[in-house]
Amino acid sequence: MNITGSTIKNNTLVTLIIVVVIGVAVISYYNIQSHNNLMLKTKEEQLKILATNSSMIFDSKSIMMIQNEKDFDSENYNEAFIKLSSLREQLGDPNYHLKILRKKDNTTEFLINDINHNIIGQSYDLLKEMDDAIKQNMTTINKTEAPEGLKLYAFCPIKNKDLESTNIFLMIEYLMPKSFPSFWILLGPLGLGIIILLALFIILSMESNKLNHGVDFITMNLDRLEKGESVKKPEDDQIYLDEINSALQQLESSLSTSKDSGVERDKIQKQITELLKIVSSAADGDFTVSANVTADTLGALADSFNLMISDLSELVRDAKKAAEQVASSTEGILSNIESMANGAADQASRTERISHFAKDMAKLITDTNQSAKRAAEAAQNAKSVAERGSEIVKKTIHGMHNIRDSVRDAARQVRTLGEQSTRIGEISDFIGEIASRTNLLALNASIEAARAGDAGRGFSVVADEIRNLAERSSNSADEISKLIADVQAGIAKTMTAIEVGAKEATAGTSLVDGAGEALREILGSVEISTNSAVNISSATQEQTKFSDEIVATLEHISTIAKDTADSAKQSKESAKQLEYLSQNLNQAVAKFRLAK
Amino acid sequence: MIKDSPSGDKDNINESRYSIINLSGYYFGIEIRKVVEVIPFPKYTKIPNLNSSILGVFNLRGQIYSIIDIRILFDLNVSDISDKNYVVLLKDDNISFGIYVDKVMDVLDIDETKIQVPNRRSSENFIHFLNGLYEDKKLGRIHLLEVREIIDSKKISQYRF
Repeated sequence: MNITGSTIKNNTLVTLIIVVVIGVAVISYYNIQSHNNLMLKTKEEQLKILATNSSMIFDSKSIMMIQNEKDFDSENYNEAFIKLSSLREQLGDPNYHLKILRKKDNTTEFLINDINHNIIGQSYDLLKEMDDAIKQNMTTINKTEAPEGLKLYAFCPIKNKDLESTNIFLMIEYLMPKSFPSFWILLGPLGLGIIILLALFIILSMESNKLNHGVDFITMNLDRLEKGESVKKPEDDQIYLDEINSALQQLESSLSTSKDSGVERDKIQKQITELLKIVSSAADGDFTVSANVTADTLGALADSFNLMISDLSELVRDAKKAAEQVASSTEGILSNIESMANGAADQASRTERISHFAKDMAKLITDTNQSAKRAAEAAQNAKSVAERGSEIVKKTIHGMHNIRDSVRDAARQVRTLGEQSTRIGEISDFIGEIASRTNLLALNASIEAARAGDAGRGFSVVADEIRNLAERSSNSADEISKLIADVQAGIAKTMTAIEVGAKEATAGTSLVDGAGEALREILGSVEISTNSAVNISSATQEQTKFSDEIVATLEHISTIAKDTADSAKQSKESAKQLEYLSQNLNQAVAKFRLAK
Repeated sequence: MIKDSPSGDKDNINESRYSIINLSGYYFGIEIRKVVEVIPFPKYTKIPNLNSSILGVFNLRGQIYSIIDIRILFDLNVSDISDKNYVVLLKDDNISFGIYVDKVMDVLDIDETKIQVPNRRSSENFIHFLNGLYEDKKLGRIHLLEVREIIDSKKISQYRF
């Protein structure tokens, strides 16, 4: 009957386990499938990013130069090849293959391989994704099932300088490693489930045997109890029926104890009397006593009493120690309070002194403030004077400019005068020339007149007269020439004097300019000093405020110090009280006699 | 320079007019009837292989005249010629020529009675070119030139034909 019950239970269990195992297998299959899909997606994204980033390092212009197989050793090929191979090395995965291709009408051709193998111009399929990549200037992905596994291709156009796509593109090929076949995913958990099921079945059948055995044993013991026989101890470890066994034993023991209670009562009476003696002596303060501990119920009481006494004596010892400590600490507190009171008094008097100093300082600051104000006024005056000076210098500069202009005018006029005097000299030379000509003509006329004899005598006189005049005009012309020379010498001197004057005027102008500059600097300095004085003034006002605050604070400190002194006095009183209390405590505790 | 001598018909016989020239510090008088013209020193053309007393020839109003430097003839000091100097054009018996002069001073009426005959005591080298000497109150000694002697002098006459 028992065996059939457990078998039914086992069958249900087996069914449940099979269902669970199948469920787990199905779920794990889908899990792995979706995990694979996720892996693929991630790989695609990785490949896409890798291709986009890698395409950046290539120079489209230099790659375009590669035309056919002959360009295999060209510098352009080598440059791109080195980049490509280093890229592959960096990836460090033999499943990656990198190539650079060029679109050519409806096909594509290889340009550069990542292994050193000449494949330039070898034609290749034009996949839709390649076309998309070039047309849309973006990276595309192609998936192809190959016998060795799933192949992923990423195509990314290599952009030119303006980031436009060109007809060359980078192809990155990736062979996905083969994933676990789905069949094994299903079968693995299933097998495991069957193994677990078998194990469970074996364990259950063993346990149910033990249970049956236990039930038989209890039935037998109950029968023995009914008959008045003692309960049999279980022979082996009857784990399932322990509780029932112990309950049976208790039942047996309770049946036996009720017999011998009358003998015990007298013995307990005697023990209680003894215990009461000891308790009354403990109440008088003698903690040296201890109750006699026996194995019966009163023994437990005596033990508890002993424990209490020892605890109490511990407490009294602690209290004694504490009272002693309080007494010594109170002495310390008293001396501390004494010194604190003294300190507070000292602090109060010192604070008073500082307060006096602060008041003096405030007065000084006020004086400084007035000085600063006076300095500011003086600086203001200096500023106005400097401004007037600057105005005067400006006028002077103007005057100097006028002088310079006048000197320049004078120089021009004198030069004109010189030129005119030169002209006059020329004219007088001309007059001299005319005079000498006239002289000659008159001479010739007089010669002619002389040859004419008596008839020419009158004419001769006229000719002489003309000669005379010519001579005089010649002399006058000579004098004029001399005068003109003098005038010109004078003009030359004047010119040099004027030039010197002009230079002096220029020098004067620059000097005055310097003076103006100096005045301007003075103005700047005065401005600064004015500002400084104003700043000082405002700062001293601030200082006054602060010093007032300091005074107030110091007074406050002084009152606090006084309060502290008062409090110290009060504390002294309290401490004395405490001392008294601790003495009392000591006396009270001394009453108890303690075991060593 | 009006002369103090009155212009009277009676005095005509005893007076003759001289043109006074200055040359190297000496004053020379030339009879006025032998003087054609006084001109400023002209531009002239040198002629090679001539005696150094003949400076060259010049053109005056289409006529060609020679210039004689009588300083060389007279052994006088020679200084540089400038355009301030003059040429006096002389004419004697259809022979016309110019002589270089430093300056033309005046035309003087000279009393012939006061002309002294040059004698051996006169130390000048050119004594045989002179007609006589005249002491003027203002200018001092004036050497009166005999034009014919210049033309006939050996250095000049060799070129005549």
